[in-house]
Amino acid sequence: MTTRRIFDGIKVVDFGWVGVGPISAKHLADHGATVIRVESTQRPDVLRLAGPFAGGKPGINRSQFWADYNSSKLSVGLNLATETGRALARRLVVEWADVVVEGYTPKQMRAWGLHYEDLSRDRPDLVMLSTSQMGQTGPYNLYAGYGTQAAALAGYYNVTGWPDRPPVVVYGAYTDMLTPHFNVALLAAALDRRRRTGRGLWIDTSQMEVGILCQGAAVLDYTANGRVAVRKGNRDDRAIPHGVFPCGGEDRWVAIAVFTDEQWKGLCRVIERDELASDPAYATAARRREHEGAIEELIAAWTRQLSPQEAMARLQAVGVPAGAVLWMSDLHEDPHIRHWGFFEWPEHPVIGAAPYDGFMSHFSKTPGRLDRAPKIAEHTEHVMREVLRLSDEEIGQMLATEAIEFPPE
Amino acid sequence: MARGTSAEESLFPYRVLDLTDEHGQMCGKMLGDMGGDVIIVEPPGGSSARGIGPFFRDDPHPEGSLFWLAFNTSKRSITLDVVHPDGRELFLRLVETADAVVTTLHPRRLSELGLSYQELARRKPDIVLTTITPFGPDGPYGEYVGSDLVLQALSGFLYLSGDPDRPPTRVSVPMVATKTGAEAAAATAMALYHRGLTGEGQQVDVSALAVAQWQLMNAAPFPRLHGTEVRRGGGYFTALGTVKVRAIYPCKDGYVYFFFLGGTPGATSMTALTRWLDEEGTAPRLMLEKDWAGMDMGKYMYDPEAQKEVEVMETSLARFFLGKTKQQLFDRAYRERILIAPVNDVRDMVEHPQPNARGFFVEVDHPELAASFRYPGHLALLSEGRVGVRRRAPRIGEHNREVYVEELGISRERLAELSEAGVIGEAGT
Repeated sequence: MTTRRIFDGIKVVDFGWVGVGPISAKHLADHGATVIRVESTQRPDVLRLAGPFAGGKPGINRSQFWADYNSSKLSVGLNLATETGRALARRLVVEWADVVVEGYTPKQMRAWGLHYEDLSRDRPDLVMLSTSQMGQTGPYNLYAGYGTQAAALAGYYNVTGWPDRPPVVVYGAYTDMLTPHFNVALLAAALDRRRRTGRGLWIDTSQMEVGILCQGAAVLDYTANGRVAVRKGNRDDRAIPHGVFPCGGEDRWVAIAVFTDEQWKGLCRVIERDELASDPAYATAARRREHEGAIEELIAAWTRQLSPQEAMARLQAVGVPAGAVLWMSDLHEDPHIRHWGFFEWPEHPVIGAAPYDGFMSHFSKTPGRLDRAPKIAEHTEHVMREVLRLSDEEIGQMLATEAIEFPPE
Repeated sequence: MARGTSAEESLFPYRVLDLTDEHGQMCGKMLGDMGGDVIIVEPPGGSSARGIGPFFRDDPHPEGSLFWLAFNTSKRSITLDVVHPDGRELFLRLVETADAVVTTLHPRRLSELGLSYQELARRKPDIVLTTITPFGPDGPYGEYVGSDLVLQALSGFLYLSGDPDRPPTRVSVPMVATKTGAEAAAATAMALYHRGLTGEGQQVDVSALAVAQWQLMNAAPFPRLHGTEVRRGGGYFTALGTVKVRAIYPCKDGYVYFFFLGGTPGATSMTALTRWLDEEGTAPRLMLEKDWAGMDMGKYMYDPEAQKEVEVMETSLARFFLGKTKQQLFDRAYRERILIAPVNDVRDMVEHPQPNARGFFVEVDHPELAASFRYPGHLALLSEGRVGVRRRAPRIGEHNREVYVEELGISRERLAELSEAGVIGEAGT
C-alpha cells in the first residue's frame, strides 16, 4: 500500500528557468504533484549545459545540476517562440493545471500571453507563482541575472571574507536556494486557501527581498542604530572563541563555536589546558575577547594533532559545538548524512545513479518520494495524447511546424 | 501596522504555538506574517533570543534585541514554564485550541516533558507538530550541539567559500537558522494543507543540517561524476568547471560582482560588455573576436587552454571596472543585460530604489523604545495585497492576560497564583 502524498492530484505547469522556479516546483513534485516542466531544445535551460555531467561528459541529458532541480517531473518539448506552442501552453494551464510556476524576467510571460492576468480570466482559481530576481514591479524589475547576482544585490558577498581583504564570493547562487522555502510555504498556503474559498492567487517573490529579509537583525542594526555590517572572517559577535582551526592533513579543518562559559570550560578540559578554565582572565566572554588571537593559537595547537572528525567527537562529547569541515567527497561517506538519508540515488537512463539533494523535512504520515528527472521532451507524446487529447494528425502537424518537440536522437 | 486584505487574512487562518528559541523563530514569523495567530511561548523571564544582539542603541535589554524584533514580528507572546506540571497542563489546554505546534525542543526532550507528538495528539488528534533540530531527532550526531558555523561546516558549504590561503570562511551574518525556519514554515503549511484535505495531523521533523546542505548548488555530485573535489576560490567562481573565473572586482567606490560566461547563458552579457569596452577603446582583441553565442561552456570551462584567455579578458575588465562606480556599472548593466551586480552593503540595500519602490521597507513604531525604524516588510506581494509584517514583535508576556484570561477563561486570581508560583512570568498588563 502506498501512502498519500501531500500534493497528490495537484497539477503544475513549470515555466521555471535555472534555479529558483524549478527548485520550488521540484519540492511540489517530490511530494506528489504532477509537474510538467516546459522546455525546448531551441533554448534549453542553461543548467542542462552546466556540470557536473555524467562521466564528466557534457550533453543535453547528462547534467546532474539540471536533474537535481527537476526530480520527479515530466518534461514537455514546447517551443514558446511559436504561436502554436504558446497556444498549447495556454491550454495546458487553462484546461489542466492547478498551479503555474514561472521564473522568467518579468516581461516574458506577458509577451507570451501567459501573464497571470491572461490566465486568471479563464481560471480565477489558478494559483500562480512568479519568482524573479527583484520582483515583478519597480524600476529595476527587468534585471536579468542569476542567483549569483541576486546574492550580491542582497548583500551576502560584502559580509563574507576577512576584514583586511576584499570580499569573497559565497559559493553557488545562494538566493536561488533560499527563496524556494518561501515559495513553497506560500504555494501550500495558497492551495489551502483555494481549497477553503475556491479562489486563486498570484504570488510575486523577489530573491533580493527574501535575501534581505533573512538578514533582518543586520538590517535593523542599520535602520535603528546606523551600523553597517562588515565581514569578520570566522569570528562572531557573541561566541568566543569562534573559528575554523587546522587539523592533521592537507586543507583539513574543524569549526568550533563557544557560546557559554560552560562550553569554554569544556573546551579547556578537552584541549588539556585545564588551568585556563579557572583563570579569571578568561572567565567571561568579554575577558576572552581580549585574548582572542592567543586562544585561537592554543586551540590550533591541539587541533593540528587530530583529524576533523576526532576533534569534533571529543568536543561534542562535552557539549562544545564543533563540526568537521566536510569536503564534497566526505558528504557521501558521513555516517549522519547517510542516517538522515539526505542524498537520493534514483537511476537515470543516461546519467545512471547520481546523488540528488533530498528531503529537509521528514513527514511522519506523508513521506515524500524523489524520482529521477526527465530527459528533455521525454513526455511530449504523453502530454499531447493523454493530457491535451490531440490526434496523431494534430501531433504530426505540430511537430512539422516545430511547435512541439519529441526527444532529440 | 495591520494592512488587512482578504487574501492576507485567509491565507493562513491557523493558530500556531511557537515553542522555539533563536534556532527557529523565522518559522513563526513567516506564519504570522502570512496571517496566522502565532503565539510564542517564552519561558518566564523571556526567550533566550532576547539576549542576542545587536541591541537597540547597543543597550543589552531583552526588549531591545534587534534579533528578537526582526524574527518575531506578527506574533503574540505569553510566558509559560512548560517544565512545571501546571505549566505543561496549561500548554496542553492551549494545544486543544491550536492547529500546529512548532518547536526547537529536541523530540527526546519533548518526550521527557510529556509533550511528545503522541501526547499532544491525545489532546488534539489532528495537531501538526513541527520539530526543528540541528541534526534531526536521531542518528550519530542526533545529540550534537549545533550552531551556524558548525552546521555550515558539516553541510560542506563552509569548505567552498573563502580565500584559498586562509581557512574556509563563513558569511558573517548567520544564515542557517533563518533558512531552517523558512523550511519549517513551508513544511508546517504543507502539513496543514494535508490536514485540511484528510483531517489527519502528523509530526514533521526538520533538520537544519539538511537545510544547510541545500545551499551547495551543484557541488555535491562532482566527486562521484567527475572524480574531482570543489574548492574555495576567494573572489573567483569555482562552480562551472576547472577554469577559474574571477567574480569580484574592485570598482571606483566599492566592489562589483561579474563573471565571464559565454554560450546561451552569457552571450548577451558579454556582447554588450565588449561593446562598452570597445567604445572606450579598451577591449582586448580576444574579446572583440570571440563568438560569444557559439561558445560551448560545457567544454570551454574544462579546457586548460581557456584559462589563459580568461585571464587576458579579466585583466582588461579589472582596469575597466576600476574607473566606474557601482551605480554607473549597474545602470548600464541593467539596460543592456550585462551580468554585473553591485556588491551591496546593508546601507545600499536599505536605500536601494527597487525594494523601496515596492514598499518593501516599512516603518514600525516602537512606542516603548520611543523610536520607529524600518523593517524588511514583506515575504511577497500578492494579486490582492501583500504578505508581511502585521505587528511589531511582542514584549515579554505581552499577551498573557489576553490569552490566559480572555481566551482560555482562566480567572485573574488563578493567573496571579500561577504567576506567584513562577509558572508564568509577570501576569501582564
